[in-house]
Amino acid sequence: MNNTMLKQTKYKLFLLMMLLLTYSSSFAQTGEVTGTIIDANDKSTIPGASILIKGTVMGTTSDINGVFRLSVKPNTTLVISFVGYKTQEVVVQPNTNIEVILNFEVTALEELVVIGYGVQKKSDRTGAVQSITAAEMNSGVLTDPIQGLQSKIAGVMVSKKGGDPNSGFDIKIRGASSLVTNTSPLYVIDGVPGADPTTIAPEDIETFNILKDASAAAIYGSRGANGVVIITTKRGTERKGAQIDFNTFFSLEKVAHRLDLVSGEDYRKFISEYPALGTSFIDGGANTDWQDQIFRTGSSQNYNLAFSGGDSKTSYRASLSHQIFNGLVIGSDKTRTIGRINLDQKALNDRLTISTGMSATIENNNYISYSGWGRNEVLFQAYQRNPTDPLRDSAGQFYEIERVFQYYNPVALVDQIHNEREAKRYFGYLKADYEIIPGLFAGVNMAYTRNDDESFYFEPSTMYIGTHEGYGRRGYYNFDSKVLETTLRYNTDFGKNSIQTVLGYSFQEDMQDGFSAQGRQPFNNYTMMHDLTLFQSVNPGDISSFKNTNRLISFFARGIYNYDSKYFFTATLRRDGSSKFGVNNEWGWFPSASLMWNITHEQFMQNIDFINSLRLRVGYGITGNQEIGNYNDIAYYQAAGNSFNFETGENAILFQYAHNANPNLKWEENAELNIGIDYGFLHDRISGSIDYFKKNTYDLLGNYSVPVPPNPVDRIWANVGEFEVSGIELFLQGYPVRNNTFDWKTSIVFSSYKQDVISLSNETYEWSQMQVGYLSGPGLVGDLNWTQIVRPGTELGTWYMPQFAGFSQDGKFLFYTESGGVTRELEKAERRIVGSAQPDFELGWSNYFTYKKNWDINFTFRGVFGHEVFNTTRLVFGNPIFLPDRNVLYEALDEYRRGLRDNPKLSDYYLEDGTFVRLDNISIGYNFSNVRGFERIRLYFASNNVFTITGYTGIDPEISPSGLSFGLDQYNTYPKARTYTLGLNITL
Amino acid sequence: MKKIFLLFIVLSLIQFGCTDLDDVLYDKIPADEYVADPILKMSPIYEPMRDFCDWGGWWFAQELTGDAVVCPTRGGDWDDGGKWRVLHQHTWDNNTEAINSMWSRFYRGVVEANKFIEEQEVFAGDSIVDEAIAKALILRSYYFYLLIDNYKDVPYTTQYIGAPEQPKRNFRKDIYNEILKTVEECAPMISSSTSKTGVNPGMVYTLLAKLYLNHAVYLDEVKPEYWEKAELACKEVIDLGQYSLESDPLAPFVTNNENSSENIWTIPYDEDHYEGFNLHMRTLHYNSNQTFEMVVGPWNGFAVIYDHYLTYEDNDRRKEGFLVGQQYTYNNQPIMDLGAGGIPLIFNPVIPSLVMGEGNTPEEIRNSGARVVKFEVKRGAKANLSNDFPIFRYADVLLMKAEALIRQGKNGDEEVNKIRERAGLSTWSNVTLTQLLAERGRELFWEAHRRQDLIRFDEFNKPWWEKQASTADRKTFPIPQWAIEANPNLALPPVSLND
Repeated sequence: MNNTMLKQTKYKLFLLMMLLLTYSSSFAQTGEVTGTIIDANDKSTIPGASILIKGTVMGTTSDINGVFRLSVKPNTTLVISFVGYKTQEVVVQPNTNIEVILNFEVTALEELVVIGYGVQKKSDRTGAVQSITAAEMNSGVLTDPIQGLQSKIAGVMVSKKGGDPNSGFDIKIRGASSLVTNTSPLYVIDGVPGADPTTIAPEDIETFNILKDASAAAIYGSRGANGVVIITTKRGTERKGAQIDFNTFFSLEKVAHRLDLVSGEDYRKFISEYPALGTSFIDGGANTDWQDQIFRTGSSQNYNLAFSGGDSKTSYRASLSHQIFNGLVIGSDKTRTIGRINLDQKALNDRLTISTGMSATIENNNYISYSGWGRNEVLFQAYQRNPTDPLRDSAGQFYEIERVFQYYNPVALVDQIHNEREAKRYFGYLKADYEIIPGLFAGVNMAYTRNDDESFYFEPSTMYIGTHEGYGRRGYYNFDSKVLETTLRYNTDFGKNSIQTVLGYSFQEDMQDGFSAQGRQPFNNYTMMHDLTLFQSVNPGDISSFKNTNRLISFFARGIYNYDSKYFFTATLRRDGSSKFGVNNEWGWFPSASLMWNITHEQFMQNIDFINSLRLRVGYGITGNQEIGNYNDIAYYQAAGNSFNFETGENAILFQYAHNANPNLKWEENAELNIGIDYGFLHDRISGSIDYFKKNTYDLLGNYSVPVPPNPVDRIWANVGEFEVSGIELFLQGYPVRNNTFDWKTSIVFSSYKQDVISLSNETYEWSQMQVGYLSGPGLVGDLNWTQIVRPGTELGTWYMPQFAGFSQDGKFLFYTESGGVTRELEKAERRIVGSAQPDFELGWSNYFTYKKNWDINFTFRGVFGHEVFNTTRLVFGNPIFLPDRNVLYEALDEYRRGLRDNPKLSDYYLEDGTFVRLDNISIGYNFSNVRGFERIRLYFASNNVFTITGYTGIDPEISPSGLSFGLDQYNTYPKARTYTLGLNITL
Repeated sequence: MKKIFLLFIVLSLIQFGCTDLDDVLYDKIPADEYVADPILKMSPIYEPMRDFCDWGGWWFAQELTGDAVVCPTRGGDWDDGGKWRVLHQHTWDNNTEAINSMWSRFYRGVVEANKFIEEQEVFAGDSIVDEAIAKALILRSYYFYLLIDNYKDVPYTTQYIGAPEQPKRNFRKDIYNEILKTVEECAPMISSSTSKTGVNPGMVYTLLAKLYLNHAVYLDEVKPEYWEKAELACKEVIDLGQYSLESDPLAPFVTNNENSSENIWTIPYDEDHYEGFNLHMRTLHYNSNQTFEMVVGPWNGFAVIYDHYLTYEDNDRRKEGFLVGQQYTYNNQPIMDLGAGGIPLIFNPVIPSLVMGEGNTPEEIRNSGARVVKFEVKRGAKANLSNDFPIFRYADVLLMKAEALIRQGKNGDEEVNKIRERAGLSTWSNVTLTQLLAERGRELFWEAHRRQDLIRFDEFNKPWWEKQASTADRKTFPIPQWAIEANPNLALPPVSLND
């Protein structure tokens, strides 16, 4: 070795030693740091806070006393965080003891809820108001944004019978019910009341705020009786550069539950065992599963692109969405494109704010019929079709045969009938808000909505068996709404007092009009309904049009006062006038008052650490429901079809007096009392609320019969009936696990209410009971087949039918009679209350997990308990009497063997418990972190309707409890889908 | 700047502070704007008749309760909770659909007539108005005639404004006397007319003949002078000289029968403009549409009771109104019933039983019973036919005259034989009431007369085919349940007219 090399080696050795020394010296210098995490506000300790070494995933959490211990090197930066608090960073040294003081996250304390014409701090609420943010909405495939709310808010029941992408969701708040009027809540979108929520892409929603009780909803007066859903769309915020969001998903769907219908082979085998059936059996020669023929693998696609940005004066957000839903049944699908722009501009020293929002939605739907057992109803035709009938005959045409009345090939129906709609929805508003003097704001809001629907329908003349007339129709239906609202708001504080007031005026005018033309016997089927000149048979009445309008004018005022943030008082008053009301009742008053006591701000609560918030609320209010239809208060003549002038022998049009005038007609009124408690323990580690409410609905609109004469017509619309609903809602939210690797947030929602029909009559009009819920099906036509009763003392949806008492020797249904005996005649059977289609309670359980900051998992269970569903599908298809022509369920074969030889007869034998628990959605997402240029990339997999636990044997135990009768499953339940979704969320 | 904005707000509040809530009607006519001429205003009085042959229930109640027409349960079809069966077996109750429907139609007619009369009475003195009022009175009497014929004791409401809200029932005989008087008084005021749809002299006298001929049923006693009055009323019709028998017995029932010399008063059905006549859909087989190249598929149900079918002699021309045996397409190819397994479509007039199902062959279930094409089904027929339905027909008038004569102990052969000869049959001599009833059964088959005739001849309660003997109270239909619920006074016993 020469000298240079030796020097280099020595040098290297020296370096190595130094490294080792420093390394070991750092080991030697590592020490433990201990610390206590403290709440800045009340100096209490915070257990469960996360302490991480910055830039790593190493760390610990504070224990029950708020104390932590961690091994650190000198000058280590620790990142300390806890939900609801501002994250802090602190540099620590080993072998030291520190105190870390955390401040409340500003937004958490002042989280706002929208309360109608204003916002309020969440902790200052006096009414039952709940909100859901975009992050808490349901995941997976949402055919309508309302689905995002399902089972998230106590007292808000979102339901949909079946899974048709073209049918909407039913939303009922606190069991809103009525005889004939619409029970949907009022939707307010970006401050505009009465807008259509299906025109918003779920990705554009910032929050849902639900005003559940009358004291909160009374500010909406005659439209607040069913609750109010306030939707706020996302707006731009001040930020550097633009934010670009791109969301997409693709999903596949399969039928979750099918009917257990007999297969072709088993059908043949069964018939061969029973010669009595064999005499009249005609074998189609094939083996067709008709459910397979009409079901397919559905799919959905969604694309959403949004960009937003802004500075201190201007902000914007624009988005474009495109969704495609292909339903599970052939021939049904929906495509929707939504464009939206929100702009905000400040001026005049930020005293003036101008906002605008515009959106346009174009939707295209292809429909199939499945509402009953008629010749066009695809589901019924598929269920009843004999499995030995082939799909096509030897010539390749759809195979048709007239085994029984109205028996048609369902695949041919879908192929031949054209039923399409194109809908356009335009919505725009312009708002200006000006601060005249500090605390005094004047605002104007103008909005315009235009909905245009165009429908196309065609049946070719080659349909059905033999000749068919053919039929074509085109129709237009338009709706527009103009809204103008002006408000004056004044907020001020003096001493410990704080006042917020609003004074306002609202004007709304709605117009509907439409046009349609139809014809029969087309010369050529190719052009379908696109060329109506080709229809030979067009008669008077085939061309029709209509137009009607209504107006709503209101004045409202609200004052919110609080003393020392301890005692809150809110009072609202609204005066509404509508053209729908009769001349004697055009204007109505809708007052409300509510109190809130923030108990935790009291002196005696200061030392109770584990309760960080406790608020008691009491509210009472009067709201109205004015969805009673236009012109029901006045007398008019309307065209009522073709007629004949017997005297002159010429054709004429019949004019009919529509209904008696009722100058006293008014809105339906709700008086509601709400008592609630909001709580928060352990720094909101557990929080929630409990509400009890009692609501009386009176002046329910009904169509009463009156004697003729003296009245010109035998019916009149009058406000008579009275209902009562009372119930309880519980909401609990908690963070059971919080550490640096694993976060778990869970929330439980429970609601239960009891409904009662108090009365259907008053001194003038009488109705002792209503028989509703008529069955319809083969052999079931007639006056005896009603299943529910509405009468004082029962709730809506009460099942009232003969009770099954067994089978007779010769296989006939037996029913109990009033005297305790049995009879086989339906007319002689005694009807009894055998159940209710209203659930006893509803439960929702949502869970959100994050794992190692990258993985997020959430799932939601939903359960509806205690409702009974009448399985008409089983009443008909479970009866072997239709052998050997129609197909039946396997159950019918068993019944035949047991000896059932009777026509389908109504009884509680077919009433089933519809209780179910369903895993509504589950999603697993992975966030790619620290990808250059991207703020967020998330890949997720989700599944909807994963599994259902239920004893119900039909397609779907879920019912939509709306209208006078519900809970009937009559081969009109579109199968529900189980979906598997793959999606991507990107934010730049 | 501040002040300008403030002003703007205040101004907009004032300007837009609109509080006008009046309804604005676009596609409907406010009651005070509606004016119609008196003749057109009579249309609502006729309108309830439109439903008579379908959901109005009247036709079903008159024919299905008799011994000629039946709607058997065919396997899974037409059972409908028994609403057809009970009519045949006379086991209906006050919830049976056909019975419920008639009541509302009849009273609708009464109310519209009363309304019209009171409205027009203001203009009385004008000859057109007076005749219109007379016509309305006659129409009202016609509806009351239907009411007492079907429901016996009913409220006799003759007022519109000021009528009692819950009227009590009145005695049938009192109502009968009132309407008889009304029709007699109004008859001379009806000017002569060739209309077969509006009230015309022929219709008025035929109605009188009906009233007199059925008096024993309505009065519960026989008044021999009424037989003569019935005979005279028939004579009035004959003497008008407007009506005559067609040479073809099926001619009054063809599609374009609006000018038939035999029809006196009809419901002017039209397949497009005045729908309501779809009995052909109920009787024809699913595949019969091939026979007539119909654009719709019939419902396969109603048929002729076999015993009635046997009462026709082989050479009776009226049998052309039945479909029996092998059925053919429009181009004379034999039709196959694919739904029954591809067997030939042959109508067998023998119906095995009222309720057919398990144990019956598809042929029996689907194809038994003679079907009725007395009302012509034209080529390309739709769901509703255009044939006008005769409520009053000249052949009926002739038979009524014969009956009135026989009941007076005189001879009615001449009129009866006109009918028989026209039907290609041999003549009779010294026709008895029994023979007359049977001839009425054949001639007026399917025209909604059977029930009334059987009751008048006291045969309605006798057993036939699958019907047991029924009790006398079955001659009256019960008042519908829903009507009693709306007006509990209907359940009380009837009171005399001035109470």
